[in-house]
Amino acid sequence: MRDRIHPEDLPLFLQMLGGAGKQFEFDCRVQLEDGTIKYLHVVADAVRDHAGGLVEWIGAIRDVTERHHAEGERRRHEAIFSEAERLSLTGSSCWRPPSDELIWSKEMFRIFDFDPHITPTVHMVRARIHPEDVPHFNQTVECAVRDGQDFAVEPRLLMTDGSIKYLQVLTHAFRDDQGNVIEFMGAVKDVTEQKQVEVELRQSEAFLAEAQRLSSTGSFAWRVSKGEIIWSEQTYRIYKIDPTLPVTFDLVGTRIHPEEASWFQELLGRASSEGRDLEFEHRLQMPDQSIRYLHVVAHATRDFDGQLEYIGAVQDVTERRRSEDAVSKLRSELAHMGRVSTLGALTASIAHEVNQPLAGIITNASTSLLMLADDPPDIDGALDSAQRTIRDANRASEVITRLRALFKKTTTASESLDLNEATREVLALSMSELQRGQVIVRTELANDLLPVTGDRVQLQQVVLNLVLNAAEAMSAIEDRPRLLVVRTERDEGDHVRLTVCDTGPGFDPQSANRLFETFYTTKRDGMGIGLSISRSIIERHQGRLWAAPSDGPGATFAFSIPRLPVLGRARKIDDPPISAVPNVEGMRGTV
Amino acid sequence: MGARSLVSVVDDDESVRESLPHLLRRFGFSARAFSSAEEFLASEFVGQTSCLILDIAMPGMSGPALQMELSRRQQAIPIVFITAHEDETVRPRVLEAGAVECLFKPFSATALRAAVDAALRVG
Repeated sequence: MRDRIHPEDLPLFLQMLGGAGKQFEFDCRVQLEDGTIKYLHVVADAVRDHAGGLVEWIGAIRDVTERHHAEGERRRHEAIFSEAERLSLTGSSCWRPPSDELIWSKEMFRIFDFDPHITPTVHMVRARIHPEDVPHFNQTVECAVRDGQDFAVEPRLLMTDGSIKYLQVLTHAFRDDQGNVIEFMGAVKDVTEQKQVEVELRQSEAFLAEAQRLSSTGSFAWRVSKGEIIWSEQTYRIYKIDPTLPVTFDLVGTRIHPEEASWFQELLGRASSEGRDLEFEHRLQMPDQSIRYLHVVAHATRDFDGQLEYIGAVQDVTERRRSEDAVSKLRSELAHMGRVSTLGALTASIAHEVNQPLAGIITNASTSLLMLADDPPDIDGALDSAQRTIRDANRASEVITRLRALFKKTTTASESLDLNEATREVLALSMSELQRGQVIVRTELANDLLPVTGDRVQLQQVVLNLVLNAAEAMSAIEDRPRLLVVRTERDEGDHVRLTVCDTGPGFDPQSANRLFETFYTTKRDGMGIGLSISRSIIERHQGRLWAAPSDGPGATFAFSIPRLPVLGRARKIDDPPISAVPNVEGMRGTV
Repeated sequence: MGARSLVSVVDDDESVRESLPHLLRRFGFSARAFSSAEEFLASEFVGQTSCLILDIAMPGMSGPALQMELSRRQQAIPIVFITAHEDETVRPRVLEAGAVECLFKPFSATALRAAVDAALRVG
């Protein structure tokens, strides 16, 4: 037998057998030949002689293997439950109101931070509950005891270190036959972390709402298949819609600017079928008829069920648009003033330069006449005066020559250039001016346009002049779109042609040629210089600039230049550039 | 009346400086030309000048500035302004400041004569 006893249990077994006791009882393991372990319960009584010497042990041995296994299982389960309680921060409790007896799981001690060796009491529990929550807790429990009902309560604990714990308590009442409560079985969960997350979430929601308000940005979600729209508070504020109303597209439709209503419908249709990200600007017309500009960005995504959903942001950009408009208007006004005052200064300067020698001419001629009329005539004096007259007349002539040089630059910087690209640059430069004038620009630039040889800057000046003239011509048009068409194409004889059409008031066909005369203008504040300079530039490129009525309303200006002009004249570096007004100012000192 | 009245011409433009004195002499005045207001002020002829023909726009001190300077010095010389700038607002301004006349270049000999005569009557 000794051989079979598990080596770990053997020392105790031998100690028992050799001991002086009257009786022993213990469990030991025996290992069978096939290696399995059996648990034996051994109870033995000692039989002793008169002298107290051990005669024999009489006892019983019971196989308790089954019981032992069941015990192990139970312990394991307990361990698992205990671990689960620890992990889920949930304690179990049993309270028997008649005796006020309280039985706690280990986790309960941890939650309440009590020494696990003490016996918990209801009094201790109440002492731990946050004073503010005690009245409500007591009341809930009293009612539950009185009515024999389950109860749930969420008290806070005030721990000894001053920290707060949030609990969630759920109980079930067990009653006797008379309906009196025998005990409450309860689960107590420490939800402090969840509460903190909740508080933080609420805080960040508050921050988000504030951020949305400050940035005038609202958010929204649109579940396309359900037709469900959810708005943030700020979005309601932007649309000026009562936040208690559920959002529908009908409701949104009451705010969309009438001019954009059909466009908006189309956009929604496309969005719901294509499911692509969206970004667009549109206008709202508010009940007081004021206009708001919105910038909307939406991301297409799929919800849990794989249904299309848009999540997006909507920003009120009205103020920005207004200030942009104001800046653009100011810039354009400044540019216009600059143009007008430059040309005004130019004219004044020309007049000044010409008037000076004219004054000399008239004075000298008058002197000459007076001297000749004298008796006797002062021939020498008259001759001198006549000489000075000629000199002053030459000065005047020089001024004119200089002026001609200024307007008719005799040489051209030649380079190979892409007229399409040059045109695009001009349109890009004048985009804000065109947008401000609500001009719709349509470009029809030929793909097969070959490069031309010419002065890029000068040709761009011509295009700019034609484009700005067209925009200005349409500024008063209200009953039709202000459409500007810029077209390039190949023209016969290895020429390229650029055409600018507008939908402005057009011009009288009889004055078509006069349009290009210097100082001829149809504009109230125009100087009549632009087109004449433009024509001289095109002529220097051996091309032609002309005007014709458009097919519909408006005017068409076009030029056609050879791809490879023969630029015969020698290039003079000193020639003043076409736009160099300062040279005109400089003339004063030299004339 | 011994010496002939001195008419001084102040103008930065050479054509005017060379032509006007000849005409003024033909009218019977003695005449001197200066190319700037500063040159005139520095000369010995300020006190002897009976009439000043003065250009408005000049480099350095302008015509109206010279007018103010003379009035500050209590040199009451009658002034006929001449200008090549066709600015209609300038005439009432200088007349209000005490000028006898303001002529726009080019002006006729008759207009000049009338203006100088008027100036000498004032003086």
